[in-house]
Amino acid sequence: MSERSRVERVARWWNDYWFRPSPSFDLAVCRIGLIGFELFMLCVPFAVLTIPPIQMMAIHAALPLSDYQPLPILQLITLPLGGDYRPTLEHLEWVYLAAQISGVIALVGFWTRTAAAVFALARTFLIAHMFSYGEFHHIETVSTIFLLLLPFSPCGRVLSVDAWLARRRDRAAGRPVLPILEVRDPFAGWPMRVIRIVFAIVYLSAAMSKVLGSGLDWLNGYTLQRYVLQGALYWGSDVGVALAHHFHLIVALGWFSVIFESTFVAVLRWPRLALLYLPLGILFHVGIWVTIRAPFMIWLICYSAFVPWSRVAQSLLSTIRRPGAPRPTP
Amino acid sequence: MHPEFVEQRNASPGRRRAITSLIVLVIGLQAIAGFKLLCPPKALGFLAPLRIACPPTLWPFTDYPMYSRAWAAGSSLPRFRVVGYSRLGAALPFEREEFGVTHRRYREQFVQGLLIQAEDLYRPVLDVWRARYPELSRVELVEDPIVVLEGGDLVDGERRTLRSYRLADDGSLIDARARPR
Repeated sequence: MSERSRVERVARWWNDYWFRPSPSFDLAVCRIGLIGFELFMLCVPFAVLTIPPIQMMAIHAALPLSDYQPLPILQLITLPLGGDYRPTLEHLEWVYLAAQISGVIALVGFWTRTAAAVFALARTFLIAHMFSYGEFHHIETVSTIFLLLLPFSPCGRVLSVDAWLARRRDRAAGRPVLPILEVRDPFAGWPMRVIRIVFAIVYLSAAMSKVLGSGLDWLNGYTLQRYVLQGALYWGSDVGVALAHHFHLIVALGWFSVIFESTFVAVLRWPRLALLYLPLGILFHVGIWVTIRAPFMIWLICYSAFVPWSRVAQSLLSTIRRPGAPRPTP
Repeated sequence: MHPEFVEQRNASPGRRRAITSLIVLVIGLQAIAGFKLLCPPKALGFLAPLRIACPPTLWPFTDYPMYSRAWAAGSSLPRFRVVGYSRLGAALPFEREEFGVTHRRYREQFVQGLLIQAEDLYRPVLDVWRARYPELSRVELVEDPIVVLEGGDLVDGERRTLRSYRLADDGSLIDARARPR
């Protein structure tokens, strides 16, 4: 095979993998789920967070300048304001408000990509600022990446005010209008595929940290027992304390964690494995939340990148459609 | 292909190239951060020049080392309790749930306040306790560790009193070791 044809084959594979026409509905569901959940956390912080953002902003803004070590992503976002810029409490409150407003607009899908871009930047700004005082967390990582990708995709192509207006215009002009579930776009699939790969790397990284850092000792049961008990006592979880007393179950859960994290990557090669791994992942993260109160719930929302929502909707529609009844337009 | 609504004008090579760059950037950054390619362990001294992007430099791209340290049997976990006594020495329980004090408030305000002797932190919760038990005259913060034994059994470790306070008439706490004036 000549060099050129090899290159062409790789290019064809690349284009087919990333840019094959994919259901716009799937991406729109991800947009609504992700932005909806983030917006919920911004507007009803007491429901999810231990310390609400406004209180946290006030604490951080009052800290001395010497404590401020801005993350590079925050410096990048605030580059136009100068290298020495540090947000004041007033600026933070404005950005918080901008995040809420743009989040609502992106959720309903009006000027969707612009609103999604403003929301992604505002939210990343707030989180990155919070992590610019020597302490950072991992809960918001995948969702931040997903949010930052959305504006580069046709995430408002369906299930949005933009789509409704466009379809109304098309109908008025006599142009054909496809049912929502059949709308496909070559740029609708790549953000979800990127997030699947990010998840695979993230889980692999977690497994590697345990196994390479501690070897098989991590699986001795005492390790997970200690972490469960430590988290449960600190956060006041009776379930976690009760679990810590079942050593054999703890040993099994330790093995499950490492096997789950290290083999999640198989979903990329065999997508049908998602039917097994997603429910296991849900159990995994809900279990972590119940026992040690580590709230990785947003990751479950990001799991929507693995779900063929248009096919799910088609199946639901065909299940509820009465035999012989005229086919409704979705 | 079925009448899939594919906007070919959107699938321009220029846009594909731009998105391809973005895809490579995102996956590349996640791989670099996740596998610590630019933050090798300090123990590997010969790779020190590569330590240029340790977490959280690339956030939201990062590695996931949480809970990765291994522990063996015999390790102990600190557990803090607050215990109260009347003048006659009777124990007066702190009924957190009955007092309407959340676990977080108990831990971050009451326990922490007693530990660092910060009245503004512990006083609101202490007042709730005093209202229920006016006879409260002495408060102790004790460390009551749990020890993980071989085989996974959990037992109480040796109790240690971290702070001991006497209650003053105005409701404030005085270090019990301090001499009365």
